[in-house]
Amino acid sequence: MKNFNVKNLLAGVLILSGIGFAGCEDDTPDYNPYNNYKTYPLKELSAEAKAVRDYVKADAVIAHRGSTFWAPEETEAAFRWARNMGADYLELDLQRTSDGVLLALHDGNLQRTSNIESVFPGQDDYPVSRFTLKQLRELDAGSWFNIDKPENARSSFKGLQICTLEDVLLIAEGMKVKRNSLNQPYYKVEDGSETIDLKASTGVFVFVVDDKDNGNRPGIYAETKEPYLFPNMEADLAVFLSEVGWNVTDSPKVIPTTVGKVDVANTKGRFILQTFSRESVVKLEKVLPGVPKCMLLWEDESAGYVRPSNSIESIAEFINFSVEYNCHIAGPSIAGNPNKYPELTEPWMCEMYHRAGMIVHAYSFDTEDQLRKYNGDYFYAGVSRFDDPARAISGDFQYDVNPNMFIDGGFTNLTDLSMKYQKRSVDETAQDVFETLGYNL
Amino acid sequence: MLRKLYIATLALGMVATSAIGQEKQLTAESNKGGIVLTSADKDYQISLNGRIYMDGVHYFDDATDLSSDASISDIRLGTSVKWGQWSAKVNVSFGNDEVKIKDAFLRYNYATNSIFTVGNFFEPFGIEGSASSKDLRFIGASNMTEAMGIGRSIGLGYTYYTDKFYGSTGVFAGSVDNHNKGDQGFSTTTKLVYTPIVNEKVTFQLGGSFTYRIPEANGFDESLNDDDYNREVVLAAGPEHKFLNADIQHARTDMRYNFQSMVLSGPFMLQAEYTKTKVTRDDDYVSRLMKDNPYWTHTATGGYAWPTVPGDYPGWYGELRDIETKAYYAQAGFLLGDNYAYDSASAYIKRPKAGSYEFLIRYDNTDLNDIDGTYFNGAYGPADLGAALGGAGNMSIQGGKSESYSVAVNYYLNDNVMFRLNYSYMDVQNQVYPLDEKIGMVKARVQVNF
Repeated sequence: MKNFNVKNLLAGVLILSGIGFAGCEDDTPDYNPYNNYKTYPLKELSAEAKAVRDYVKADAVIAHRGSTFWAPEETEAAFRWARNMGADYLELDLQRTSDGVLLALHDGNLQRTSNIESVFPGQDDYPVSRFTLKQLRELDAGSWFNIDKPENARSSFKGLQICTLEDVLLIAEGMKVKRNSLNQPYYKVEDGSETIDLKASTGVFVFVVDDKDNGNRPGIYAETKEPYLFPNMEADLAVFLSEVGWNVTDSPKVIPTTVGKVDVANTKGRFILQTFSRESVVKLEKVLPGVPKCMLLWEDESAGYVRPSNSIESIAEFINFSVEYNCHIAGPSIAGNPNKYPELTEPWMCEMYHRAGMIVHAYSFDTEDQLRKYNGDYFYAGVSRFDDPARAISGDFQYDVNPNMFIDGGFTNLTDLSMKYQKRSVDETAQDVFETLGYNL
Repeated sequence: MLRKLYIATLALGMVATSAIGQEKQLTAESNKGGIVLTSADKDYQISLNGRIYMDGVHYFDDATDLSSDASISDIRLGTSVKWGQWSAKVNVSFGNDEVKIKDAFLRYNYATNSIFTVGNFFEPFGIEGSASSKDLRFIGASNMTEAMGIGRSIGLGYTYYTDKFYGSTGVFAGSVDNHNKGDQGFSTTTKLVYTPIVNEKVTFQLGGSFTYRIPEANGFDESLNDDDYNREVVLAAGPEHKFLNADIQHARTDMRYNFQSMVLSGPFMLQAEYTKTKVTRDDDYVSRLMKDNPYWTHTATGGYAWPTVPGDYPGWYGELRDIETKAYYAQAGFLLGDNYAYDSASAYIKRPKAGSYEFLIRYDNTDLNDIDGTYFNGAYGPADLGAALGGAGNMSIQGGKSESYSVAVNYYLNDNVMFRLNYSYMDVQNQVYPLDEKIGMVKARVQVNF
């Protein structure tokens, strides 16, 4: 051990200890969403896209499938009720029949929401796309609700039929299905006449002015599914909307409105497109540019996407994709009973959606507690912004609580509850609206 | 099987050693700080060897927090025995609370420069990949070697060298660290180095290595009771193996090529290596189809079944194509107090003499990406956007890319103790860590070996 140099040894030990001590210092903020949501790189909607975003009514009350709580979802009863209740938008899921009619139906088949087992035995698991409109009109899409939700059952729900997109547009315009004294619907015949005989008809309802319409003219919020289920449906939708005057980029028709009533159907925000499918949104942007679009977000996206949607990377990726294809609205799920959906509407997430220039329409609301939570009331001592637009933050949360952390609207199963929360006037209670519309117990 | 054979051989060797030891009178002496017992006829020699690495690392992290710490990263104890043309070495590491078998082999010197080895030892691959960490110029190997180097395996090897030529080859059957069920891997590795100029002024070396490997089984696939398709190759390097980490599943074969070059001239040294890897992949689609059954669903046009043929799997999840990665580094050194000296037995540099300082710089470029798809939220879809949006998968590997710039100072206190200080700046690109771009790290080591 010659040339042993104590000075060098000490220097080495000092360097090592110095590094050891330095290692104990926390030099970087923890890499979690709470430290990064404000600075995480995001794309932002263009000025042009923001102008389209602003077509959308502020604080939108979106009647989820008309209502899933009070009436059989996506039927004439549910949509007429939502219109008269005061919803800004009637929400529906688009599917297509085998003869090319665009239909409002949520599930992939008709097992849950109809009596298909009885009408088409052995075919109850067939997708909607296997049936013609006339076949589907044979189904009772109302009775199941009376069994499922006896507390909200009404005898007049029995026999309700599936709605087409055109039916929902006409309801939004203040119409209703023409029926005889036995409540049987009239169908159009090829020669232009009308009949109550479904077999002799085209299956298309005849509509008349709704004598119980209270003047509200809601818009439509329609969801497209994965394109492999309905190839080219986006293009079909574009053609159809132009034909019926609901495409705002293509000479939309004037829909008369009443002052003081919902008038969304006569604005540029009359029709909003929504989808979970990235493939569909790319197609929608191609065939319906300039129409407001909502990119919906669920916990796990389709097969190829492995990362849970609630990470900051995933939220950012979702936003960047949405912005690239001009999605003006983020549609994340909310937590809470009864659905127990994944939480994708946390304050930091909303801040990120907003930073990209998007507005937030979360889904789906069933309770007042949810409305209060996602509108941020608990940061303001329980005061709603609809009670006091200048409400002040109550409490020292030691982070930047601000209005960007909350929603701009929501899909609700109880339009009545959302209207009440927003302090908006309603003509009647939920039950009374049904009575007025003729849906008797 | 080979592992058992090697243990038996080693045990026999040790018994023989003891027997010889009992018959001969040994003299104790010190050699480079270690204790060596030698018989009077010098035919028998036993020595104890050991090592301690006392490390400190401090990261200047970007977004992802890295664990700066001080540690005893390696403690090693071992024995070497030599009797005539035979020798054996056992070396066990206790660093970081783990016990690992390191060198454990029996060696036969057929001639001074012609050596057979059986046991657990370095596969001859590249410069850094075949060298002990105590002889590396920096603390730890370059990212290239860390990711693509091989290390030790159980096998049988042969090495031949002259002043200008070094050749080493071997067949190997997996690592002692692999405790997974299923068949062990197999590999054959060869390194050939030619040093056309070796004199006191200049040493110039060129070489290449090649390895062909069947990766080790990773246990049995539970549903198919199969170990053939449950093999993986992991190429990982850098801080906590976060930013450079390619996990290649369903590996069938693993081939790696390395080219090396070194120039020594007085106190100056240049060293560079390039490594390319190619992993072939496969899966048992036929068994999967038989297990799944074609799934039928109704559609507007009648019906749709998936999968119907084995080819539907790669069609939907992505083809298990070959994965290729590559990396290289170049480093330069300057010795203060000594000149670089070449050791033809190891085809590498001898340890500088006591009191020397060594200054080094290195550039490393490691690319563990082999991507031909569209990236969405943590996974890849096909390159065609429509297909990707439709949910189809893609088997691209995104292991990350980095460019690293390093500087180092070594002080060789004596033959047994050295101080090392390194600084590295790493420019990283990894989609898993999108916020991390620039990582700095200071590393220090007090290294003791005897």
